[in-house]
Amino acid sequence: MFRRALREAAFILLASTLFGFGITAIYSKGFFAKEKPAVTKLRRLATLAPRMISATEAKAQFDGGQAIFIDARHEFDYKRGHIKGAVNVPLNSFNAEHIIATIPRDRVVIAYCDGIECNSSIELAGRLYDAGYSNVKIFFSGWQDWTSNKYPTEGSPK
Amino acid sequence: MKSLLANGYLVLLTRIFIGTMFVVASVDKIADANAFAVSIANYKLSPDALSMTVATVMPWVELISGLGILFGVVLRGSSLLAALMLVVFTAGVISALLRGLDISCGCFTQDPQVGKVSWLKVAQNTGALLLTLFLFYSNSAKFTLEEYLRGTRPEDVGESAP
Repeated sequence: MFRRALREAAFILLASTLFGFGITAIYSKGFFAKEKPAVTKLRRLATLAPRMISATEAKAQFDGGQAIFIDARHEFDYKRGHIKGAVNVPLNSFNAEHIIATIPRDRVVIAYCDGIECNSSIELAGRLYDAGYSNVKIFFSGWQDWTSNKYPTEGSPK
Repeated sequence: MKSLLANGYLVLLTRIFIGTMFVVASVDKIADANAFAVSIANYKLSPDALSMTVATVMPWVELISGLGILFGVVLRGSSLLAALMLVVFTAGVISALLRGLDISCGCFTQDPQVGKVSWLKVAQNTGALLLTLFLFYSNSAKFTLEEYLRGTRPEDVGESAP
């Protein structure tokens, strides 16, 4: 009984291999796709996905002068004080087209919010990434950590 | 148990259920091998080239085995492969769950929004695996295409199960 089962199984596997490669070749899919397989694209996306950075790394990026800090907090908080040079993009007024028009998509963008109690930096980073920004970072410990380190800020606390 | 294995109606019912399940599961994968390759790659168990090979061949194994089980041709080989696939799928899902991966199953649809891996899926697969093993050891050729074509029962039917 097992011999016969194995023979039949071998036959099915052989037929499947022929069909699988045959059909994908005819329709130019899978291995025979003209575009690179989606798996490669997926790998690329994974390597570009937003990463969390520490206050030290954020400061190093700040000193490098190339990165753009994006403040995900409410406008009220932003006006009271924010990382020097940061752009305010409150999550509820996120407009991908407007941001793309303002900030080139190949720039390093660092999203932050108040600190570990908030998630809007992560949410914002995700949306920036979806909008096509290829180098998004999340400064998760955010504003609290930045000020406790006495790093440069601007705004008018009252 | 022996009488269950020889019960033509029970075997037919199980064949329809399992056969249809495999045929249905294969359609979306055959239609889009790339999407299925991504589903496999998401489990992070195999290198890309292997994921792509599996995505090319395996949906057809599902389809042919499913049809084989449904119509009762090459039934032993089909149920053997079906059982093997279920074991591999279930192992993949369990390992994904243990590693805390938040991925879609890729079982019946390649839509990433539906069918996250879950312990329910493991339970379903285990149930399906038991039914498939039942088919493998069953010895009723009633209502099979093989029986119909030959006008007799297939050669090894009637042998006692090992």
